Amino acid sequence: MHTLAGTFIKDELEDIFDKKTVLYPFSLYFMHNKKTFYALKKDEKVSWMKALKEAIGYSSLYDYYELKVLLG
Amino acid sequence: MRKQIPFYNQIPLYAKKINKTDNKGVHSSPTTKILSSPKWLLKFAPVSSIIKRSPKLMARKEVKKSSVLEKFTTHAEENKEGKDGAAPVTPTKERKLTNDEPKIEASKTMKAQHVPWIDSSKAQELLVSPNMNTEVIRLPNAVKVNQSVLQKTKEVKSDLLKSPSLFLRDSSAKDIVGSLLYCECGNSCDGESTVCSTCLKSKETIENTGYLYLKAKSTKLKRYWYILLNKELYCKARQNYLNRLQE
Repeated sequence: MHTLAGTFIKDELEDIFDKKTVLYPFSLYFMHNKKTFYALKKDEKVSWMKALKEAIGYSSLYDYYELKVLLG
Repeated sequence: MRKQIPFYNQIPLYAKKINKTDNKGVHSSPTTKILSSPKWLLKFAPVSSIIKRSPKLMARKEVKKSSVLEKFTTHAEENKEGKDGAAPVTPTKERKLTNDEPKIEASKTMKAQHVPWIDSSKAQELLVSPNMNTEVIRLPNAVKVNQSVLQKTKEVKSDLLKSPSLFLRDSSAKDIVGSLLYCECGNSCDGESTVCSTCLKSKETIENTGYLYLKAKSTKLKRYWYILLNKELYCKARQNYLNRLQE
């Protein structure tokens, strides 16, 4: 069992395993260690990320804003 | 200003050596006794302190003084008149004071001392009233309510003019003006609910289950059944864990 108090979540880039299967990873930063979880489907990853973010109470700038090219 | 010298510095002034003799006539060693000064005696006498505290007793004292003075002055005036032409009055005769005179004198002294004079009727009322011994009677505050605010709101309650401390204490879902409702966290609630949207979300249980993979080695993946319950993430090797719990 892991307590999610004081943890951070980070979205990772897609990883190719055995040159065939595509994995969709995300990592949880605990107090003293880091753990990367892999999902086989993108929807699974999104649903997990959403649930974990709610549980932690995590919210990033990108959840509310879209950052695009500089206007000037 | 005159400097006050402490009494312990003035002790030698009031000390006195006394030689004592026994029954056999033998002189013993002299002993020192401290005589208290008349000033200090007057100051710290219990009677004088009581008189100073109460204005009534002070007034009575003044009346007594004035009556004695008056007695002497009246005699002097009467003697003067006698010298002018009329028959002299003997000093042994004392003028009898009427019943109203001491009251008038008392009132004069009270006025001089700025003591409020109470009529006999008022005094009787005070004696009868139960709140005689109370020092101050607090009256309710007369607060003028802003009419413009009252007109805007549909329902006006006594809670409208609350102090901030009371307002914060009873802030848990109590309507203050009309239909405005506030949550425990301080945010305004939507509709008739007593809890705001953020608090509702936090109270809801977060559940998610599914398979997730972990890398055992760089060339091997291991599958685990993960269960998320609020802030706890459970990890099991098999999916049957939930079924066992339900049983």
